[in-house]
Amino acid sequence: MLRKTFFLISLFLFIAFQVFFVSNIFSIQNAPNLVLLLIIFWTIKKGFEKTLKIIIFSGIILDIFYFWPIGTNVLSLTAVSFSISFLTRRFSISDFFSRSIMIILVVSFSVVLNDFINQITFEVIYFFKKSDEFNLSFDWKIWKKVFYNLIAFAIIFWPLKKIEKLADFYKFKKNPKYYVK
Amino acid sequence: MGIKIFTKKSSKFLIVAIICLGIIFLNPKGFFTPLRIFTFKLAYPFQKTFYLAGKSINKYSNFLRSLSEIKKENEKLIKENHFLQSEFSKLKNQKRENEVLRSQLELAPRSDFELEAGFVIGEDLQGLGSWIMIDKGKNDGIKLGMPVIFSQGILVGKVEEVFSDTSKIALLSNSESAINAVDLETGAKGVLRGDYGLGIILDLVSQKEVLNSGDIIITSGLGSNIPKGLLIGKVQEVRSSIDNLFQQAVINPSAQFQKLDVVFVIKK
Repeated sequence: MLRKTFFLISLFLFIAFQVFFVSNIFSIQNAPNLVLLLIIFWTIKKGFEKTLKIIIFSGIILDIFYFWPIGTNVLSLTAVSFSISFLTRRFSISDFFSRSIMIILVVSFSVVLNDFINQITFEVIYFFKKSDEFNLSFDWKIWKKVFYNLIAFAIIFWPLKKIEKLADFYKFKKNPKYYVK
Repeated sequence: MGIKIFTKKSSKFLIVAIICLGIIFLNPKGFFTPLRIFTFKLAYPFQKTFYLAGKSINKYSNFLRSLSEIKKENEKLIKENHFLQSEFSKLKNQKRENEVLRSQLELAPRSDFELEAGFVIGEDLQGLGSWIMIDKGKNDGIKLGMPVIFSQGILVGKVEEVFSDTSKIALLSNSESAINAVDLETGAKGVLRGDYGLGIILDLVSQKEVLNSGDIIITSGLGSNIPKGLLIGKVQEVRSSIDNLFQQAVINPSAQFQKLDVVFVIKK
């Protein structure tokens, strides 16, 4: 219980850090989406179903902070996580080089998909609200965003892995039976 | 063997997606307000710290980026300084004229208002520039619909949502905002609204009225609690509405929404 509370508070602060700090340093077109990267990491590590609760919590908090309609980020992050889990299950790669390429592709795909779903949601909302023309725009800026996200993922990947190992260690210490196979 | 489509995982995904779509598009008004208030109350100290830290880092990095330009700018400024010295004497006289004109133009003097200063601690990150967040809320006497200005009576927007310690300000560029405005030179009246982050439009101006490029637009004081005479901006371009029933004017706002640090809420 204490671990879960600590985890939720940390996640809440992490999301606040993303929205109010990271997005302020970079322009919105370039700002790496650390929450999305975190979801990608956990989906690769734990799978879609174990990440779902985290996605719902993160999505709702992001929507509240961004003043977006509640559900927008939950929808896009869920779709991203589901797609990653679908893809990674079909490609089992062991060597470092291929795995790195795979991660690059997964992160790039996720950033584009997340952006695409958010854009579609907003366009549909505006379309029904103001009967404006449906106008989806995709330009080279998305690749700039992908690039920044790849760099951010490379930076946070190892620390996250360490934290994950540490968390697993304490889990094991608390309940060793659970880990006996 | 075929691929099983409705696995437990895909069912979970579908359920979440359907619920999300339902919430997004049915958009139950006010349903999530208590959750929003609670979340912002929790996040307030972190939000303020993160935002101000981010802003100062941003300013510092912008300064570093501009170092190479500073030398060129310095030379230019020395030239400008000589020119400005000669202009200074002329301006002294113009200042007096300006004061007389200001009273004639009925621009609202700031001393007439009870103001509450607020630091900007959040902004629209979609790049649409439709709202900002300030560190003053219900506890400081801020109420819904109160007008927000900066500098010498330049209208920025109005209070859209109030939380205990923070408030969300809908900027003039917000597509949902509607403020009655008037052309100072010709008296043409219209409704000011945002153009989805693309600018500000003075809409619903009768075809009989006259609008000229460069005209100053101020608040008309009609219909809402926004006082008369707050400066909004200048007319940039005049055009007809799609149905040709009204005139529209693209407004160049006097406020630079991206650069707001401190704003003032007019309480009375």
